[in-house]
Order: sequence, then structure tokens, then C-alpha cells
Amino acid sequence: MTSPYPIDEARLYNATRFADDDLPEGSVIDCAQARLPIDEAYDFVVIGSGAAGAVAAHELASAGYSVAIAEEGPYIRTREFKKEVGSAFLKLFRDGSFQALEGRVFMPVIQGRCVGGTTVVNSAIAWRTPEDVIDEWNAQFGLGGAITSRALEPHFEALERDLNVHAVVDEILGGNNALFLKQAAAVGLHPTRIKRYERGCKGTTQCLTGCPTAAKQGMNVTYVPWTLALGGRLFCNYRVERIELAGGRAVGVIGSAQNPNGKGTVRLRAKRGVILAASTVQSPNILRRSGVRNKHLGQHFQTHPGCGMGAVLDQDVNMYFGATQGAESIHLRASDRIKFETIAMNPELVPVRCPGLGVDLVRRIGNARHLAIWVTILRSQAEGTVSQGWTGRDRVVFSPTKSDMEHVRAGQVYLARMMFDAGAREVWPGIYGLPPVLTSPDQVKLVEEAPLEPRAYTFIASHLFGAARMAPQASGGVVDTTFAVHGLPNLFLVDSSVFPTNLGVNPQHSIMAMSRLATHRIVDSPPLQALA
Amino acid sequence: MKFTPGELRSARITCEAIFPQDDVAELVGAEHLEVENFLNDLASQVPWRAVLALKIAFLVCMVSPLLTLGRFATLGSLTPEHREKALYKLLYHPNYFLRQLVAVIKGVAALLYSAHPANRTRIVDTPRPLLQLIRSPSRVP
Repeated sequence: MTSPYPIDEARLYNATRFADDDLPEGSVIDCAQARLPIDEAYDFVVIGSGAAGAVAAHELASAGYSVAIAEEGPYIRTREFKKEVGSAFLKLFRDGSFQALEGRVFMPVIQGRCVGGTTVVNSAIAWRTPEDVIDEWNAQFGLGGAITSRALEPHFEALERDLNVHAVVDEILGGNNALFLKQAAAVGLHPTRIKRYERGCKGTTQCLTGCPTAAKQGMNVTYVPWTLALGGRLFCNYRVERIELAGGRAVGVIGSAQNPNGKGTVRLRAKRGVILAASTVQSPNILRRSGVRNKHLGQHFQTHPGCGMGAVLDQDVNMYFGATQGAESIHLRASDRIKFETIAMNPELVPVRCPGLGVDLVRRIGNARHLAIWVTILRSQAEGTVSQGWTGRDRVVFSPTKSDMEHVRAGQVYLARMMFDAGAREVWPGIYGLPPVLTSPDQVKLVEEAPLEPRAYTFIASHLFGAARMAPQASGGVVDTTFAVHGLPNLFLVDSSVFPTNLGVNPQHSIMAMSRLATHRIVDSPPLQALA
Repeated sequence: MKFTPGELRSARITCEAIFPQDDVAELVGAEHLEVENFLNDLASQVPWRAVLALKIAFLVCMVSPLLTLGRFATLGSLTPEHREKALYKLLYHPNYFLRQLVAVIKGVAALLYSAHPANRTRIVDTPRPLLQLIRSPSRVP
């Protein structure tokens, strides 16, 4: 298995046309450059171009409606993606990657802010919504069978066809993933290769900075261009301030161009409806700014905090080649609320995982080819809140519970044991209060006894849920089972903010399937039929 | 929000202590990197809150000898070994916020350090035998 580095970018790019190279003329309006003000009318306005918004827009355009997509971030084309993390963070991530959950701990949040949303910067992992989660939604949140596996199944199937979902193949498995599969199997965790949205992955491990070969089937190279090919229009660099409501209906959206002087209004009128898909953090605040009031708005926020562990081995693991995330285990998902994953960290992120500083740090970075990094992903029980800070910024407060911390610690014990079983010379637990470097399997007991204080751990939050959850009645949630905001029959919320709980698996597939299901219900809904 | 010249000097001293030149690892140290230009570029593209956090972090690092070694001195006045020791103690300080500040600097400086073409090539492309550390990995000052 050889590394493709350095990729001959010129050759690669000259040989290939990407889906975002040949967009219909005039289909993309960059509001940072456009002549303002803009005032246009469409059947539907979709806010957000990520997993939920892009799928909804495509379904509506396929049904023959005129569609405008409003996206706060820029459209960074495949040809512009670079290896360097710094420039990618600044261009592709919200707040230049400085966004963090507040609470007991600062928890950085992985959220894309570009056309394609987080699908541009995630690892494209596809997991159908687990049955037990759907059962829980129906039993505890009274969804009354509105969201069922049977209802979602045709949508999962369609998405899997469209985006070529399949398990990581041998050619791009890579050393980090292969090692995890071996060690996790040895301790009975029944690991599997990750299923991803992917066509012809070259194993560049650049999923987190934008796929330079467009092999990753993110929304930026699939449903967004496909929507534009059907006549849709995309307004990027356009921040929606609020949804205009009149007579108990949504009639359009209004916002500002994201240009250097911050001037210029863009108004998109919606003849039939507005689809809100701006993410769990942004959607509740857009609703608030639009005058929607509900006691559950901004409440019940949940996430999947991830906690990594590094190990140094004698062999050349070379995590810089292969699927960025190619192996996983959900064996303890039901019993311990944890999932294990591999991750290949870009060179710029390796020092963050390495303990210490100075010469020791530099030598450990020099050993990065010998490094394996695996992660415990927690299906947290804690709930947080989404609100708007005094400067207008989105503010999320979230703290893991003691029970959450016990699960995380249990996961870290597994990882430490597996790493020493693999022959690790060093294991880096990343837990304050423990030695930064463990050198003996006997020291795994230190991880077993590690503090349960969240501040002792380093988390990253990458999956976000809730904050505008679904419930049949307004007294129980923000949207009804047709995905319409209670009391506003043509304002639909279709992103993961409607999920009553988190999932315990990666959410992109569920988000897209729910959005597709919602859009089919919207198109078939009596109010819309009446309008038509 | 911009960095002042004094803050940029503090940033350079701190980054050089975190990522020193090391010929064994064959990695280019922060002394050869354009720390000032990088931070100025960064400050123009991230929210002011992030810049403010970095300013505070550099300030805290500069007074770290007082916080960690009990010495009434700035980081810049110490020898390289003592700078490393002071920052190391800050990185593992009992106060969560203090250790987070050093971690933030380490994370931001890593974006510059590992993106240097020579360092990237060395880290990613070159299989080599495992380097031995020069100190005991379990040392905690």
C-alpha cells in the first residue's frame, strides 16, 4: 500500500472535470460580488446548502418547483481545495474553526460554513437511523408513527444510490484503519469498515479540508450542482437575518450580503414556502429573529462529543494514506452509549494531539508516521441550549453529565488497552491528572481510575441535534410531524434540529433521509396542493 | 482587531519555545517561520473574540515564569530550557483556563508549523525509524 503523496495536482486537475466546474451560467449568485439590492421570487426558498438543505432543494426542483438556495458561506470549488488545514479552516469552517460550545468545558465544534455545509469537511460516513432511536422517538416523544423505519427506507435507498454508499475498499484502507480493525476484533468489539458517500476515493486523507478529487460525495459536488442543473439558483455569501411572516404564513427571507462592507440587502420571496435547513445551531436563532416563540426553541440541544487517543508504534502506520475515517465499532453503542472510530489527522492537527511541548513535542511530531489515532464518540445524555449572544452570535451551552463521563472513560480504557495490545510504545491518553504519556500496559488502570471531571478531557463536538425538536403539539416541540413550524403551515424545518434526541451514529444519512421524507410530505401536503 | 508589535514579539518567543529547531527530527523550528505575518493574516479573518483570546494567551505565557516557577521574570528573559519548563507547567496547570490558553496557542501555531513545506514533507512523506525521545516521557516538572 503506497502513499500517493505528493499528489500531482496539476495532472489530477487537468485530467478531470469536477461537478462544480460546469455549473449553469447565472445559477450561482455570489452576493459578496453581486449588484445589490436583490429582490426575487421563487416557489420555495431553502435556507442552507448542507445535507438537509441541498437534498430538500433537489427534491423540490425535481418536482418542478422554482427553488432558491440561500447559503451564508462561499462556494469553494473542488479545484480550490488545498492540503493546508489553516486556509481550509478559515474558508470552510464557521468562525474560522474558532467556534466552540460553552459550558463546563470549551468544546470546539466542527461546522462547515460554505456551500455544501459540513458535508464538505466531514468524513462522509453513512449510517441509517438506528431502529432503537426511532422507537424511542415514537414512544417518548409521541411522534405517533410519523417517523418510522419503513417511511425512511425508500429515502435511504435513493440516497445510497445517488451518493454511491459503500464500505471502504482494500486499496484505500490505510494503516490506521487496518490496525483498528485487527485490534478491535481481538477484544470482541466486532469492528467494521465504514460505509461512506464516495466515488473513486484516492485515499488522500483530506476529507476534513475538502476533497481535492471530488471523490467524496459532499453536497457541493452532488445535490447542489444537480439542483442548479434543474433550474435552481444559489445565493452564496448571503446571511439570512429573518424569515418574513405575514398572515400566519412565511412569505420570504431577508438578509445581508457577506461582503467586506457588510452592506446590501437580499430579499427572496417565497410563493409557496420556506424550507429552513441552516443547522441545529443556526436554525433556532433564525426562527427567534423571525418572531417564532415556543418554549422548546433552543432547548434540548444534544451532541456526540468525541475524545481521541493517540499511540506511537514501532511500525510505519502512515495514517496519511487511506480513508480519513475507515473503521468503526458500534458494539458498545446500546450498552455504553459509545462508538469507536479511527481518524487520520492532518499534519497540522497532529501537534494538538501530541503531549508536551519543546524538543519532546517536536520529536513526537517527527514520529507522526508511527502514530495511530482512534476516537471514542459519546451518545451523550446531557442537554444544552442554543441562544443568541449579546453581540448577535450563536451561543451554545452544553456540559456532559457524570454518567456521560463514565461512558467516555470506559471508551478510553478500551482504546488504551487496544493500543498497548497492538504493541504501542507510547499511549497518549490526553486526560489531565494522568501522565501525558503512558508507556506500559499496567498503566491502563490509571485510565480506569481517571477523573470524571469534563475539564480533564479534550473533546470535539461534530454532530449536533435538537434545539427545535419535533412533537405533535406545540406544547411539546417546535415543529409538527409534517415538519411545519407549529402555527406556520408553510414554514418547514428539515435539519437535525428537529431530531428529538441524538443517534449514537453519524447523522448525515439520517439528516438527508429526514429532509427527503419531509420534502415529499411537503410536496404532497394539502395546503401546498391548494396553493398549486 | 490587530496584534500590537509587543504581542507579536510575545507570540514569537512563545512559538519558538513550543516548536524549537530540532535537527534530529529534521523539522524546521518556529524561529524560521513567519509567525508575525501568519498571526496578522489570521487576525483579519477570525472573529475578534478569537483574537482577544490569543492576545490574553500570549500575555499569560509571557508572565508564566511568575505563575509556574515563582520567578519575577518574563518568558523572554529566561533561557530556552527554562522557557520550555515554564510553558510546560502552564500546559499542565491545575487551572483549566490557563492550560487551555497554552493549548490554543499550540493549536494555532501548529497550523503554521506543520504547513511549512519542509515540515509537511518530513511528517507525511518520509518513512523513518522511530525517533527516541531525549528525555523521559513521563517527566512532569
